[in-house]
Amino acid sequence: MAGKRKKSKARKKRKSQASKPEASAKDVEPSADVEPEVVHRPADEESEVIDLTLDDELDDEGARERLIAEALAFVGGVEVEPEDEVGSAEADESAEADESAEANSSVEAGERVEVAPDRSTEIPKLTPAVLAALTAIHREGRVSLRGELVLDLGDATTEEERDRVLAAALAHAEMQEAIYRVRTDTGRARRWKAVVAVAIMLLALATAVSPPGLVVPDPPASLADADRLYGVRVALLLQAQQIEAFRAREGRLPDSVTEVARALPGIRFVKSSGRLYQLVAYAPDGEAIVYDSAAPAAEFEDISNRWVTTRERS
Amino acid sequence: MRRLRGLTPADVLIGIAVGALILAFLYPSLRAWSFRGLVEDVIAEVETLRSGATAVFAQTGAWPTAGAPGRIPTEVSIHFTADSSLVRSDYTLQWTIWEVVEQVIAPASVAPVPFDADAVPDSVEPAVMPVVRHVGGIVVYASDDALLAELLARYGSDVSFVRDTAWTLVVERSGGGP
Repeated sequence: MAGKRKKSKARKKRKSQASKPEASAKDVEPSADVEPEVVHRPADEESEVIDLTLDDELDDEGARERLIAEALAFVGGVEVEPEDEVGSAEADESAEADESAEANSSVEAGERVEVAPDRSTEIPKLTPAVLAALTAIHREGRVSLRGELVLDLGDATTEEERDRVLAAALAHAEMQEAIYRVRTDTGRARRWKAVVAVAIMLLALATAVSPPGLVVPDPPASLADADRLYGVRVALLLQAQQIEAFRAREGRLPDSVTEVARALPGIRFVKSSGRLYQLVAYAPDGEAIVYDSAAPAAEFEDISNRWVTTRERS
Repeated sequence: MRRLRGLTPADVLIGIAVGALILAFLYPSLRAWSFRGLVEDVIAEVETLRSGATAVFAQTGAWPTAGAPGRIPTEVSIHFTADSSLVRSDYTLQWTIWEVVEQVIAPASVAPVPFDADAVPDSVEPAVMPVVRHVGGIVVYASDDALLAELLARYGSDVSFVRDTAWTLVVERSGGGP
């Protein structure tokens, strides 16, 4: 719980420093390598906060090297290796034992910044040992692994503990860099890719609107006017068969089509005498098609010869 | 996270464009494939209905009872195990019965006897009489003209016809398939 209180307090201090750049400059040791991104508080504060604003840094090239160099400068020549659990336990005991020890440790850290050698060209590898250190410290809740990395050194009362935390920072930086290693297009590449994308989009649009014959399969059958006209004539003939069947059964013509067994819609029945009748329907173009029982048109004879009513007669 | 790993927005845009192009190329084929599937579905149900009705006619000498659109005749319902309706999203089937009149040669007992005084004609037209018989009918109602046209093309215009939004197939005792 003490560690968490220190961490939140440290974050508040960091935010207030961000709003007061002049005050922040006073706190930071005058080191050229460290100043922009690594903020180290002096020994009179309760805790030390190392703020690595990775989101901003990793957008440009060389951020990784610069970030690691800054962290190494802060460590001041300490090898990036995880400590064993004994070191951690010792650090916990020291933190519980004496608050002044923490302050002394912070003073030592501040001194390290001043004597930091130039190791910007050395890039530590993300070794399994470093990963293990990161995992251990993260499990202890001492480091917040977000886009903006905040390390709370409040509990790091010994030099070894501090090194462990910083090793974790390095590991985190490596991982962040790997995650955000996005191949950012240059302006020229972005332009030609956009041109290519627009061209493909236009091609897709043209293909959708007017697909080439290569991709269009054989069209399905369509209904011609002749097919519909033929259907009207067959329907008239079939309706006439219903009336003839009624006459054969009843010995008379029906008064209306409702008397017959099956009446097709859209066909008008006209009874001209006791023996003759006409059936009228309309073609798709509006032309009236008439079936006259006295003298059916030749088209009906043709259909009748092909149709089922005469098939079994032959 | 700010962006996808390894892909720039321009890369993503190109990927979307290529996907759209592929879709545009495949769309006509997909549509035709879907339509063929619909036609096959309709033909399968028409054939099931026809074979069931023909089997009933062969056994009983009568066609199954005509029904309203979408209703399966009870005599052939065993052939439709899925459900008891012929109403589908794209079409509706109906079983119906038509009466047709055939002019058959009248038997000698009903043939007219000439008067004795009449001269014997060189040739006499045989006496005919109307006989009513029944044929079955399968009607497919659909708003898609292409479906109706495809059915007309498959079955032919001497056993089927299209009128308005319906395709009608006349079923004989032994009719041919599509």
